[in-house]
Amino acid sequence: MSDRTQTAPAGSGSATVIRADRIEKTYDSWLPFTRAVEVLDGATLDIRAGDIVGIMGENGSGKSTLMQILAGVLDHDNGTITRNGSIGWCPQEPRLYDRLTVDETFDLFGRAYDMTEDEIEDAEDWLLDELDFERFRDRQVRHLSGGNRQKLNLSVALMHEPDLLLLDEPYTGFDWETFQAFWDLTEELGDRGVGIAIISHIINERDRFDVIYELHEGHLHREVVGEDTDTTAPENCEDPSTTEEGTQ
Amino acid sequence: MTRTRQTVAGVRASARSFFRKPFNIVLLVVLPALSIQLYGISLAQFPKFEFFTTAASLATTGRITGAVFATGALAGVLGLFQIISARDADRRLSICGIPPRDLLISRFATLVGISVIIAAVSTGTLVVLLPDSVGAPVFAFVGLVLGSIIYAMLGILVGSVLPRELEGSLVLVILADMDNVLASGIFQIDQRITRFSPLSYPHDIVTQAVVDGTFAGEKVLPALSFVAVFGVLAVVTYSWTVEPVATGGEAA
Repeated sequence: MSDRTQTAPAGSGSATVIRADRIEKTYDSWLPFTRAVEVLDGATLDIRAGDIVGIMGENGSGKSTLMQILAGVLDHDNGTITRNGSIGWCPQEPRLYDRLTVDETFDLFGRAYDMTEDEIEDAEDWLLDELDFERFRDRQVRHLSGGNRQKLNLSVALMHEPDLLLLDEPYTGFDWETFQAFWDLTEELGDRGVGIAIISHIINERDRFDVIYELHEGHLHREVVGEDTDTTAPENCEDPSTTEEGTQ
Repeated sequence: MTRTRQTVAGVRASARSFFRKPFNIVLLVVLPALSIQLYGISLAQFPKFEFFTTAASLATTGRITGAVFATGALAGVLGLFQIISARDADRRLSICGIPPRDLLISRFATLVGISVIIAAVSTGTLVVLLPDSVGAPVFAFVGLVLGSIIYAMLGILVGSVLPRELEGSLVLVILADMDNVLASGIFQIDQRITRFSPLSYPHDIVTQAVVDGTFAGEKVLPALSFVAVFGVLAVVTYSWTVEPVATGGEAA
């Protein structure tokens, strides 16, 4: 686990919602005849409020590992993560209870986020309408189609209106209308100041992002869309709210 | 208030997940009856040799042993399935803001409830299938509840360390089987060995309740010690597997 978490004084404002600085991650194995896999080697990333950031890279390049480290699901070996605000994490595979209905899932996760009954109800009504799966609210998760399950997966990440959204291939299984609705919602949230990071494989989507990070051989290469600049390290952020360092 | 709301939500989610699986209900009804009858019929085939030192007839001892085995194995396997099937969702819930200890409390509460139901079904089945009448069914029920909870804790422990349904259930069934042989009292086994058999204490409580109609109160503390030891180990391993690096669920 991480060895240190620091909290900055109250009121320290910053446009940066998350910053990862020189993150290293290697999957070790204690089993004989298996080798360690180095996934991240000094990856640096910075997401500011209102940014829509794309994280791209070939299969197995470590995108999901990076996102899990950013979300706080997975520990890293070295480097520093600075988080400033609440996070909504939408994993690639929905991590939900198969036997609960859509309604029950909203209720359970709403309580986990410490939302009131009214807040949960409002969030559910908003997301069911926005992503158009209102008619499935009484259906158990295991009986939902892949696309509807993914809508619920995304809704669980969004329902508490976080400051930062971390979305790991969020539109897998979406039909065209839902795909469009997803991007409309993403742009609306971006305009409201939510920082959004999306793992994506679709090259045609590049123009939808403000910044793209290309993950290659453990390093992140930053590209501001519409500009020619290409840097590997964004400028420093100020006044972090929570800082977490790797263990080694 | 928040913790209570979250724990109640966790218990409700676990209980719904359990009772909405028809396979769990089938196991709950079929396994005790099958095990009690098979053990009873099998042991009744043996001639009564000198080295059999049972307090009751072999048919009765067999059925008691079958009830204890079914209760322990069923609680263990269902505990294991609960932990494995909810592992990823629990991890996500902990990221969203429910502390792992509260998730674990809700898992424990659900499993204790399920253990009581398993013990009740086993006691009822034992009462119906035993050729002789059961001296004190309530005391037998208490013994089976203890056996059930011991193995439910063991199920959480195995599920946290070995999160695979096939391998984990094999480990639990083999453990329960070996444990049950030691606990049955059919063979004269050194007490220095049998005292480390978790099921031996519930087995003694059930046997005494069935045969004499009295309560073997001195066996309760050792049985509770097993609950405590497995419970602590289960807490440590479960928390280790579910604990997030950081939580991001603070409401906006």
